[in-house]
Amino acid sequence: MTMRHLRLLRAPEMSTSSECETSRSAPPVDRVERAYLDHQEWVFYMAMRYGAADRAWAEDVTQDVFICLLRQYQRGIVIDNVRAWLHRTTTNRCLTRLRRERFLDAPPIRFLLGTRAKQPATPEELGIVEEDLRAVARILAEASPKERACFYLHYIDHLSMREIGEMLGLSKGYVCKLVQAVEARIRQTQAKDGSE
Amino acid sequence: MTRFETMLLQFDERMRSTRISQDGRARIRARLREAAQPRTRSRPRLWFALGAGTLSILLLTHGFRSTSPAAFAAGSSPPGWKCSDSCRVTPSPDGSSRFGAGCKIVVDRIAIGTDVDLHVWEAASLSGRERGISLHAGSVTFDVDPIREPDAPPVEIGVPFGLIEVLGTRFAVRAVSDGGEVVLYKGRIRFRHASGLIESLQPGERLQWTSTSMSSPSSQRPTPAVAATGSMEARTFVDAPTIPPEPSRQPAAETQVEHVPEPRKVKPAPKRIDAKTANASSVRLAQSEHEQLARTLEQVSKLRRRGQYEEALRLLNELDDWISESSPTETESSSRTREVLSFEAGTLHKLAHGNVCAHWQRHLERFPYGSYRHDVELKLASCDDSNVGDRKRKGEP
Repeated sequence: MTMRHLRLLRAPEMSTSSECETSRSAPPVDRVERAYLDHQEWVFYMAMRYGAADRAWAEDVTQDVFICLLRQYQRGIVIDNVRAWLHRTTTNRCLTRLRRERFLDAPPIRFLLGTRAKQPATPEELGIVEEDLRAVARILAEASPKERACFYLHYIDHLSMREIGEMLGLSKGYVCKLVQAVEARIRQTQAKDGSE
Repeated sequence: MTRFETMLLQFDERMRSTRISQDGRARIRARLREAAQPRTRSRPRLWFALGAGTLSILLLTHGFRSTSPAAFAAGSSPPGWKCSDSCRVTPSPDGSSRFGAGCKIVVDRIAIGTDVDLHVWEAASLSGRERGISLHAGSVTFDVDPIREPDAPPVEIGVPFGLIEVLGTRFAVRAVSDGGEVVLYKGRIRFRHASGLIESLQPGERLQWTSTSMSSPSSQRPTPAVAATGSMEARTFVDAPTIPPEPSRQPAAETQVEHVPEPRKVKPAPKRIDAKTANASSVRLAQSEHEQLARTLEQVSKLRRRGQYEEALRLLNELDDWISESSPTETESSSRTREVLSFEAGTLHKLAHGNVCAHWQRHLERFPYGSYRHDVELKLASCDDSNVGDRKRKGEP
């Protein structure tokens, strides 16, 4: 199955949603309630994949994203496409959070704060028993937040390099470089597995 | 890559099938409801901003103004001297500077080797000198920081017909054209007369000098009882009203004793300590007794400030015993000291236990003609009133 097949199998999910147009005059709380009921699982799934399947982490991000949406509504900001907004906000929120955690996990900061290094959840802890899936989880866990985000957006959400760059505020060339870095790591792992 | 893409899809499907837990869902909904309420966080922020602004204004108007070098009259005060803006400084024809009453002056370390704070009580003429200050006229309290360097020469305060050598202390000086007087509050100073005669002063002692006393200087020393009262020195020198009392650094313990009904006059007991005779053993012994008393009373004051009244009482009792041992025969001075100690112990008893009637009764029996008699009788009268009140409350006749 090639990438083209994958793209055909999985239709783009960022289609224009019309739920907001119908309730634009409703109070902010009701609109957020509606958006929460419609998109909570999807936002949670996106947070799960960026957070390396950490359920509690993903729940926190989901909460942050919907509170952010509420604040936007309270300020009177009009959001035409709620799903697209949630996609962008969730991705950026996850990246910010991962970046902050990475900074706090740096040895000098840990020394200053007196904390221990955070150990990523093992595939066994995540309930992944298949050997192949464990390899995937390991490779993605080793990738940097930006690499992971670009890889997911490219291979799962089927966004072009330009679209990813616009969403994350990166250049197209840099996005391409990040995706290629993960691909190279995958090839390296496959070659290693083949030789064994 | 193909195999990996398949695995990636499977992995993604696994995550997609994961749902938010019921607890997590309830928590997010509750948090959303909470966030939907009107926000009240702006008020603390507003108060914080207002407080910070007020503090900044206060600092700008008061904090910096008092130490601002711009407060000095340019060219009228010696270099390195700082004083508050309320201070009036006028240059004198003799090259010195005349400071108005109430001036607070800080002479920094660079000028004379250590920090010196001056408080001018009466208009004073001051000028700088090598390693010191010259007081030509006026009343000034000097607060000299201790000199840290072991071999450093002492700070010198020049006065008419004399010189005061200081090694970190607090004292007040009043100088007039033909003499003056100095009261030592803390530390130790040496007074060098123009004739070369040297006199050492202990805390609580006062020294007067005149232009004619060069050959026969006279100093007034308080009795041991006065010395034992720690900081009472400023009060006991009632015959020298021009010397200001020690500034408000007196601890609470010492202010308690300020209800002395009749301030005792210091008996003039001129004691001439020449440089040759200063090492006399008798003088050293007397000095050690005074130092012991002063040290102990200082500890008592500290304990009283901390609220450790029982410990302070114990120290006072030990001091009383020590006086009894050191002077078995009851002299006038030891009797006065003991009376002061007993009165002090009474105030501590009151703080510690409340009821001190028995102590005042004993005090009156021990010192029937003491200086505190009037005060103690008043206290005993209030004791009787309270006892009558107690008996009435209990229904007793």
